[in-house]
Amino acid sequence: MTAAALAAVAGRSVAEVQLVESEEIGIVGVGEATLPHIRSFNTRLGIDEAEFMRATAATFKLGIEFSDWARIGDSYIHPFGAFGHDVDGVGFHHYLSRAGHIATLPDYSLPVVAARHAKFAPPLDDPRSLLSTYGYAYQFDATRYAPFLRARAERHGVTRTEGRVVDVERSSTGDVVAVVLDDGRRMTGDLFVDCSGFRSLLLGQAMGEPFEDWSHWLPCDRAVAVPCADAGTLKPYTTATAMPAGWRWRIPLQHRVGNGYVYASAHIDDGAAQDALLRSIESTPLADPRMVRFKAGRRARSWVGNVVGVGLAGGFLEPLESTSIYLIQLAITQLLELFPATPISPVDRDTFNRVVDLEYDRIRDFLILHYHATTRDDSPFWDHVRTMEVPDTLAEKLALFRKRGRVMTYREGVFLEPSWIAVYLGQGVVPQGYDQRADRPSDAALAQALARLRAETRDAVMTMPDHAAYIAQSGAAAA
Amino acid sequence: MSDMRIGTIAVVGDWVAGWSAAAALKSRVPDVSVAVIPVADLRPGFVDLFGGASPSIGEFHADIGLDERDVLARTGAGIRLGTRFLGWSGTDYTHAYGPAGMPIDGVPFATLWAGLGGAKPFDSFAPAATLAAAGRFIPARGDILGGYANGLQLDPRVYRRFIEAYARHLGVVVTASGMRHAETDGHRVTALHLDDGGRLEADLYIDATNADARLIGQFGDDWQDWSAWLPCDSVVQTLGIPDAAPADSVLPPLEQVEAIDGGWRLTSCLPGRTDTAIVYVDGARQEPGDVRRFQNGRRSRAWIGNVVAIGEAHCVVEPLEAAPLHVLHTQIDRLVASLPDRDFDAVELAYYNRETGQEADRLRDFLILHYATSDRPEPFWQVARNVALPPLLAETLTLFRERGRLPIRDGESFDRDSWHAVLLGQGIVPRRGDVLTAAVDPKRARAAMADFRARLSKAVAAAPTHRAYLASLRTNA
Repeated sequence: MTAAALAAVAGRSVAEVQLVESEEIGIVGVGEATLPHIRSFNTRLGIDEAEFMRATAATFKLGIEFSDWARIGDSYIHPFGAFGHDVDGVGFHHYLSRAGHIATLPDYSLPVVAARHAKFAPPLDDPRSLLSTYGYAYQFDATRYAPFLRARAERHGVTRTEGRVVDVERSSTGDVVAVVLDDGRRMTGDLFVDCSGFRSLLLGQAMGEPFEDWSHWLPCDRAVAVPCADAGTLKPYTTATAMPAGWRWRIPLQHRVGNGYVYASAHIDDGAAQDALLRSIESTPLADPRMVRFKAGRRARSWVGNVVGVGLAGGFLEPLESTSIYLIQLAITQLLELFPATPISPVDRDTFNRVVDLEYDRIRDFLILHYHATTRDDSPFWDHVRTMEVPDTLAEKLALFRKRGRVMTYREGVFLEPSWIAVYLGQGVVPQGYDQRADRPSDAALAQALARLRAETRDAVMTMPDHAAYIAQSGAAAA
Repeated sequence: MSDMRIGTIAVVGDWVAGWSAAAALKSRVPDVSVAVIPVADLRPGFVDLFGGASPSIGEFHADIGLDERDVLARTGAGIRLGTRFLGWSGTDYTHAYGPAGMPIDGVPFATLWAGLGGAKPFDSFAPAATLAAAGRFIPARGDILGGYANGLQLDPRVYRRFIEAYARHLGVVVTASGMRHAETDGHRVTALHLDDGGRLEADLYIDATNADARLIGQFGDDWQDWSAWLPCDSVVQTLGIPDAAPADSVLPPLEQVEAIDGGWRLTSCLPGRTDTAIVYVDGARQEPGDVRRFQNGRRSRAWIGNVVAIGEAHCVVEPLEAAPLHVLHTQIDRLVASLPDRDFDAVELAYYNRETGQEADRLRDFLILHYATSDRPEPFWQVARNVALPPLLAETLTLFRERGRLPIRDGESFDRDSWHAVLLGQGIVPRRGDVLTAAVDPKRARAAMADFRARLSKAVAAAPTHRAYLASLRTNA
């Protein structure tokens, strides 16, 4: 991804880009669920949507369904879109709180209602239409995405070298001078981007940047994954179902369904986790289950000396909210904007690290919220996450929402107000009060307006095509 | 929860800050009663002396139900499109609201302009600055004359009476007798004692007593002094003589700020009068007249217990870039949107204080930027640009100087366009170009820029003069 972006955006005039990778090293993901940011990234690289979807057997994604999280039997969707609309500058959910109907909030989200009906169409540009009030992302086959990007990067002049890095040469200042490959070749560079995954060959190993461990908040450290055939309607959303020692993903692709169980090895052994996964899937497995290990956290700094860690080499957060690819994109976009000269200026590095750190911290809090705000007490795993101390930053956010439905806002970041509202309410964090300004309309006027908006949302969804039908008609169907 | 709602609000102070807050609270919060309590001998704040208002005043008026054309027609105000800076750095420039130029191949105009050497001044590509230079104005449209918002140039003495009348019309009451002192219990006000012996209680008390801070000042919170970076501490204002035949002259929709030894000179043109002021540091110069002393800075907390300080009771900023009214309006907006219950939960107050403080600090940094990037030779200016800057501003300046990158932070009042206008206007040009610029063909970019400028000057020539625009409002009113 990094090579494709550097080459497509910067071009040959700025820097020569060399990619070192090994065919021997496999790809972790089975099915990959993304966030709407991937669309702007693809656009920036000049990628045609239908071509990309055909190549990766992709489906459209309107949000994530969370099942059994606050309590067994619950289900809510975190959509890519707002709930209702502000009235007189006051958030919609305050009016529902006042009306005593906060639990019906999902009925006022077009992407939630569309997801529940397995409908999809791209949003309209007309801001007055309810059909403009959402975004979307993709669910795609990761094993097909990397070759797709590699082909593009090579077309843009990236030199690709097959081989494994066996040694790293460093200068007296500590910067990396060259990497040595298994066949003895030596490759020099001014800037090294470490995309070596969990091994963090350059950033973690060569530069020795310490890892900040967050597993006391996010105890899941393994995942087992297996694909199977889709047994039902093609859903425009990913499902995350809470399990006794973690959670399970279901990612619908065009040709199959990706499944996986993300679990805490302290609470379940590998065999039991694999059995639980195989029991839960909807049809026969299409491949052998594969297991990966990880640890939640990040390198204290993502950019040290002349080495930038991108993706897992810089940090890892479990895929609960599909942030893996987003975090890769964030690092790439920041690297492009701060693309250094030689010698590298400390201010570029510090800025990069500040932006990346802040985003990691906020996503971390958002993920912890899913585990912590629960009433589940059916396993030691849930007892732990329910009763653990959370970061102060999250404790404050929770208290503020619980008090009066206020969401801490920030200018830039992946999860904005509607996402926090969706997950707070979905996880059973219900505000005690509401914004006093929501008392303005009369009871009758409010009830009437709510009923109208709810009906309009449902009616708008019914004009949308079925998800599978839209994929076929838009030319995105894989051969 | 209805029994815990705030039902009564006492606004202490009857200058512009107090009446503005009272009007906003009464109009935007349902079912509250709002009383204004005057205070004898209360000193005016900068918002009572200087009428420069940024575009945030448009939102303030719209939120409380005032039509801007009415405000203009009834108060003798003019349009304000920004500030003209003279003598701050090598060349004079205008910081006008809104964008300059147009992006080419996705590369922002400021980046292109900096990369291509900028043969023509940056502000000559800004629609609002070009209109202002010609003494013309028209509300932003969808075409080349678009993307900007306008502020206002108020006559503060007239505006005070106007906003008072509007607040009374909304149902705000004013006590016949002023406040003598506030009775407190710990970090709470329990009642206000009035000059006539009366006693008044409310759920919430707004401290709108300007820099006197008669309520919040009693809680002894610490004051953050900004004068190391914003050294001016004295103002002398001279009100202009009403113009006998104003219609003949060009009326610039800009305030003018000229850097001089020891400070700067402000010129504010109203439709019928031109006011001037010298803002300076005591000791660097001697000014005859009525000197008003001040110190830039803020209290650590704007909200303590059941008292919220707005305007100068929380944050004092000099009248550069129309900052004082901007601070007041953003604070009032946040207050209205943040009303807690009568339990005044610490979590809600802490959040309010953090956001308000952050916003004040980012505005402070934008003002410091002007001092930190001047190139004047006098000792006053040398000291001002050699002082160690607040860390975030230092980072922004380094990033911009090195490569034209401009981070926009949480709580920022002035957007990217404004930062670019001042940075490039003061002659801060990135040392090396953005990586993206390299991909744009310079010849084509230069042609597109020349074409934009030609189209802009044609559109500006067809726009009404500022005076004609104001006259059209009076005719239609």
